[in-house]
Amino acid sequence: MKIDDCLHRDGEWLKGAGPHCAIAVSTRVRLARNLARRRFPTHPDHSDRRKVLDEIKDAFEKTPSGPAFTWYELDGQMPIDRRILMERHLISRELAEGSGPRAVAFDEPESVAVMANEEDHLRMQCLRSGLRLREAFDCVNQLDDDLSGRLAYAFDPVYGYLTSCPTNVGTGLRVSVMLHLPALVMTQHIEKVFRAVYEMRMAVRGFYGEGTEAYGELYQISNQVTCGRTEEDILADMEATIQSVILYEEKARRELAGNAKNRLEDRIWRSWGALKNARLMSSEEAMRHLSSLRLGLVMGMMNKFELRDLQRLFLLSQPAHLQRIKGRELDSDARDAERAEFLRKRLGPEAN
Amino acid sequence: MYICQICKKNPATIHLTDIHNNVKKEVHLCAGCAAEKGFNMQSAASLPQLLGIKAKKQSTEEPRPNRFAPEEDIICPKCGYRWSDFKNKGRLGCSEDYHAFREKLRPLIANQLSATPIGPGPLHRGKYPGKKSSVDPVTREIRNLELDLRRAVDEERYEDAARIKSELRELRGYAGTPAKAADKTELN
Ligand SMILES: [Zn+2]
Ligand SMILES: [Zn+2]
Repeated sequence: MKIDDCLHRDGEWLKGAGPHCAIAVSTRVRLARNLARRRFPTHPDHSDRRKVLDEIKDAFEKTPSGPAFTWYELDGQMPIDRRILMERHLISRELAEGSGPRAVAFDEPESVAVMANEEDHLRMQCLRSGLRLREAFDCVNQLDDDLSGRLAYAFDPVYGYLTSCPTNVGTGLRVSVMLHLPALVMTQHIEKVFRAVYEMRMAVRGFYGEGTEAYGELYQISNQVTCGRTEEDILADMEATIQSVILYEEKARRELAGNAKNRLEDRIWRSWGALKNARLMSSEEAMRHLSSLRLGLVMGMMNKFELRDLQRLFLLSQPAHLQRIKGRELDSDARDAERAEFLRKRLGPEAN
Repeated sequence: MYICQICKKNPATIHLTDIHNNVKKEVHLCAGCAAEKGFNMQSAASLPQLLGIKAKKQSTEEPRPNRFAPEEDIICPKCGYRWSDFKNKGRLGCSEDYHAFREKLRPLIANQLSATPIGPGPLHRGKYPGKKSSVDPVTREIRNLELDLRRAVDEERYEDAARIKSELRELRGYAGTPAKAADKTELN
């Protein structure tokens, strides 16, 4: 498979559709599973890894949905190709930057991805645009049912599904929703959200998950508790928390539109100006301006393009995608120049 | 990516945020250091508790081991991984480690801060391999309606709220689920 095939399509999370898509960019649900009688990938002795990969590949290809997936082994691939998969949220940073036998299988809509030999033998995830927790869970849960008949999972009635980090034990379920919260940032209420989310035993993470920065005012909220509760309880709690954060952001947007319309419009059109004129643009700055445009678009203050086109720019202006489109490696300064040019062209005269 | 603030080596998987007088403090730890600190990772511990400033009363079920007593290392007979390796790396070596280290791992995993502390029995309440998930469609529909109700009340759409309430009443009668105290007060 050529990674370039991905470049011409929009991943599921980029669709800019689904319930609450003005705020909820995407929903991700993942299950962590390990094979019984095999060392975890985190064990220093890696002699099980190849066998694990083959067992998973074999089982996976026999599931009803298996044949429709692309199986892609990461060992020996170019770093930029691995980075493209990461930017598309198909693999984690850990899998992209790891070593040894490891793989990802994903479907053509780039909605379901199965990572093998990340920190657990199996990590299955389903991505959906908008807020669609149940749908994403049902999808990954079905895949888990299909695989569990073919693979012997490491499971214990007391602890549940056994994972290499005890923070995932039990259900192995991690639910995260990426929210666009510019109005809460502008009105300085975002800290209150962090506090409320923390009290619900949930975590806030940045754009690429675990420990990354919240570029473009995009935040991922996810559950921290995985054990001692049913999957349904975890989903219900998440749904309720996310709904209230969404209401809060909606309220902040209404307030801004009512009391600070000038400030809001100024921000949106300044960002437009910067994207249309700048000669150097870092990926952080690009995301900040694209974030303004996203806000202007969903609030009806700007109608120059579709939400989907805008979401695509978020992705294509990431470092690996940018270099792939250009067709060669670029250092950081060259990337900033290339990014500025790319965005100017994409938002070109016809969008005026 | 955040690195554990204690060992400054492993990636952090436990993130705590505490906001006090508008100052946000964050703590990022790996599971190993959290274990070292006696942190219950399936619950939300407060920063003072974690940093040992204020010894918070834990559940009464088991006395906390003396943190200062020299600790015996344990080895997993299956894979040779040690408890000290776990504390070092924040990751386990194989699934048998959950048994080999159970005395130490269980209190970490047990959900002591929930309304009903989990006793000596199973901690897991989720699905089992090979069994279909246990959620029936009625329960799921009730959950969805509860959310709709909350949203309707928040948005002051009282007619919708009344309609949703009566739908909920009907469904709960069907499922034999008692109404939650919360949505009785919401409309008053
Ligand atoms: Zn550490
Ligand atoms: Zn072991």
